[in-house]
This record gives sequence, C-alpha cells and structure tokens, in this order.
Amino acid sequence: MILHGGLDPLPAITHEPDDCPRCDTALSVNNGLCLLCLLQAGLTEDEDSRSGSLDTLLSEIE
Amino acid sequence: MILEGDWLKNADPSRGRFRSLLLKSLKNFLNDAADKIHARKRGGDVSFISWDAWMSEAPSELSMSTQTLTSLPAERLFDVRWAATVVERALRRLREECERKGRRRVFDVLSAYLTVERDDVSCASLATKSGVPKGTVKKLLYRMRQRYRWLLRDEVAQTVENPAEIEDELRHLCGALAASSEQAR
Repeated sequence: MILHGGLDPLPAITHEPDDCPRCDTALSVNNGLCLLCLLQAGLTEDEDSRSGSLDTLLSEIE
Repeated sequence: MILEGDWLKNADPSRGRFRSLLLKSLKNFLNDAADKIHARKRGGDVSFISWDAWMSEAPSELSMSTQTLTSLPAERLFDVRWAATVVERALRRLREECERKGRRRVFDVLSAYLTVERDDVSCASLATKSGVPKGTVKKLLYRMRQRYRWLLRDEVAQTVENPAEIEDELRHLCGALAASSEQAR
C-alpha cells in the first residue's frame, strides 16, 4: 500500500447508509456494500486464490 | 503537507504497523499545526492546506450516519477510514482484473453479492443482468469472493511487518468498526 511513493486520499464521508441486515452496522463503501462484512470476509483464508482461476473463468465466458 | 519530506524512506517496518505510524505522524502534524497557529497569533507565518479541499479529491466514498460521524473520537474515525481504504483498494483491484478481461459488467453486477449468503442469490436474475450463462454465475461468484479475500489480505499484508499479523490487523479493524457502530447508538 505504501510502496509506490505515496498514499491514496482517504475515503470521503458522505450520506446516511442503511443498517446492514447481517451485522447491523451502518457503514458502507461506495458500492453500497457493508464495510464490516467486506472486512470480515478477509478473515477467511483460502488455500488457493491465484488470479488465474478467476481470469480463466472470465476468459471462458461466451 | 503531512507526507512532505523523505521521512517515509526512514520508516522501519520492524517497529510496527504502517497504520500506527501514519496515525502517530498525523497526531504530530496536528500538534505542530496547533503550535503554528499559536505562533501565527504571535506574528509567525504559516500556510495551511484545506482538509476539506484535500478530501474532496478522494476517489472513493464512505457512508456513515451523521450520528456516528459526530460521536466518534478522531482515532476511531481514522481506523474506520483506514478500513474503508483497504477494502476499496481490494475492490478496485478486483474490478481492474475483470476489466482486463473485458468483463466490467460482471464486476458491476456480481460485486454487490460478495458478502451475500448464497441462499439469497438468484443466479437466474444475475445471469440476465450480467449477460453470462446462469451456470457460470455461481462459479463466478465463488471465484470472485475467493479472489476478493486474497486481494484484501494482500492489501493488509502491505501494511504489516509479516503475514502472521494480517489476521490481527483485520480483527483490530473489524473491532474498531463494530465499536464505532455501537458507540453511535
């Protein structure tokens, strides 16, 4: 995150979000997704998450 | 102004997390700014950069209630914004990976379901919206979630000394978000 000589500006705070139906917090990022749920997703570590598997599937879409 | 100079080159990763370093630097900066304000009143000459103007250039958004915003101490607000930045960087990388394959629409439609329970997802509806076969939607969702998790952990890894600290950092940020939400109630 810091290895390219600078920092991205921090996110701007905007309007009032709804409470998340899953975790009941009211913090969301710009696509409307719950910030806490997105962060908690990272607590699950996958054995194999190389970009290749998603890339391959995206390439195979007809 | 906070990041002027070459102090970052002298940062020692073995002495702690980057988030902590930045928070400490921010506190020092604000203390210095307060000192300069007092000095100015005594005839000193300083120039300030508008925080609002700087923030208006931010590429992303964080939505929170006014009650939460006004009730949080500065350090907690810093953690919340930090968490949002880490998450958004991971989302941005995922979007770029889809874009490189000419599948921006897939990201736009399916990213909204990255944290949704599988039972709550209508693959038929998503297939229509994203323009991909129904059978592929389920696989795409699985791999996008998996890839997002990896990207998020990779973003966090860049701010801690060693991979063993990723879990702790994520838990710290989750705790900060949960506490912020609780505090605002």
